Amino acid sequence: MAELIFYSYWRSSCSYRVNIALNFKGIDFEYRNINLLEGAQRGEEYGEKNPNLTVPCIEIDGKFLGQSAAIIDYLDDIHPDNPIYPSDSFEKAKVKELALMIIADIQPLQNFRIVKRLTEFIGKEEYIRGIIDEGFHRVEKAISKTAGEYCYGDQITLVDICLVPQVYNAVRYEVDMSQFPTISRINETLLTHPAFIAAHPSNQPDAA
Amino acid sequence: MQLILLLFKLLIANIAVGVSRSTMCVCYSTYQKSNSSMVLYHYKESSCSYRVRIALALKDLIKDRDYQLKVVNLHKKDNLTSSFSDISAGQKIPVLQVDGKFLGQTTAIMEYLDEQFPQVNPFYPQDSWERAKVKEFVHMIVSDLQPNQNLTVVRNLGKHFNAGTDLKRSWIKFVIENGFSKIEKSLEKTSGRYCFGNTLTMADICLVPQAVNAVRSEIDLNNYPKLSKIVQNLELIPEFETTHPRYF
Repeated sequence: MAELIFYSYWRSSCSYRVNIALNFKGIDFEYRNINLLEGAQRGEEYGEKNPNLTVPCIEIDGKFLGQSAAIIDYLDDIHPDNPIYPSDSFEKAKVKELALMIIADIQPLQNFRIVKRLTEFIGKEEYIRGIIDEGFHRVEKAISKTAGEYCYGDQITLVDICLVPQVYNAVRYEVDMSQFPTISRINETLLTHPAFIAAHPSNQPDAA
Repeated sequence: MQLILLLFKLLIANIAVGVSRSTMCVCYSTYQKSNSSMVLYHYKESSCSYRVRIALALKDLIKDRDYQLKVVNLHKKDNLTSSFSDISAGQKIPVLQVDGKFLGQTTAIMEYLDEQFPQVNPFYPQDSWERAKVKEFVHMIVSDLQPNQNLTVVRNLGKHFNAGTDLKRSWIKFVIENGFSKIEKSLEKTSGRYCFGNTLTMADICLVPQAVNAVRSEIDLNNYPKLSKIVQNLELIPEFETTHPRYF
């Protein structure tokens, strides 16, 4: 495969997901940091490449792709080894459903850009803790039915890839994780996996 | 007399539409498993539900006599009942019931349908990269935009922060306008008659319901000329028209 450039911010949970996926699949990449705190994502150089003005983004042969879910599915398409979905169609859909409870229902409501804007509107940050807390109650309930060693049986899937970065955020916003024993157990297990270790924010070149 | 006759005819016509809708559309506050092979739990004001209705229509599944719609009234909080929590752990709609099993989250549902019926109006291009580019666009709506202006979020603004109606409206407008300006920029590069050239994709299925939300929030779509033109083109397609919220 042609060289892959991965645009990331060390503490972006969406970047963290893609980072896990790249490591899990053993794909080589060049890490380029985009400092969200300095507004680098709006800069002329990066802003032209990714009009969505977000990280993560990958570049292959001069072409750019954003949105973590689209990137991860693309990686799974072109690198079928270490699949992130079960092979059965319905089970694959159930894994997507669980992952989307994080991708669509939790993370967007607590991301940096939205928080900044919300606090301009209403001036309260504990909203974020509440969002994650509420979302994790739903996720805990859902995965307590499906979990084995991991979120969906005993295979690492997209749900696990999305879960760990969201737990990282939860801890950062001081969510009481003792409420979520299944999430906590699985997170602890996943944090020992080499791909998840390599992708951890504190191990990134731009980590503060 | 003529006027009375005309009004009477209109009344009969409306009753006929109402009856044909009501045979399909059942309103429950408690939910029991249906014997139909396919059931969609939905709500007229939910743009997520509209996406899946369009998808089902495009896959030609709505003509199936076994297909049934069940209303989950979000304003009455039907989704928060304990019987609905057996159907959806996340207590969200839409949910598709297929052969007795439940599936939530719109892109999970629509991609499942796309895999089951790949020959009928495929939702994505065949090429891996092009497919990824369509998904990128889809997530600009599904992940970035819609979640931040949905009913739960707006309710939370009121519940936790005493946000009044004006503040809630401003928030919704901000989220949609912010998202649409990025979408318009993206469409300048990819669009033809539809979001991606002249072929219908998942991007179009997600765009139209979001445009309905925008119009409801009194956003002027003419500020986004590419987006506006594409939505006009899409609204002419029967599968987008017949599944419009106005009919539910």
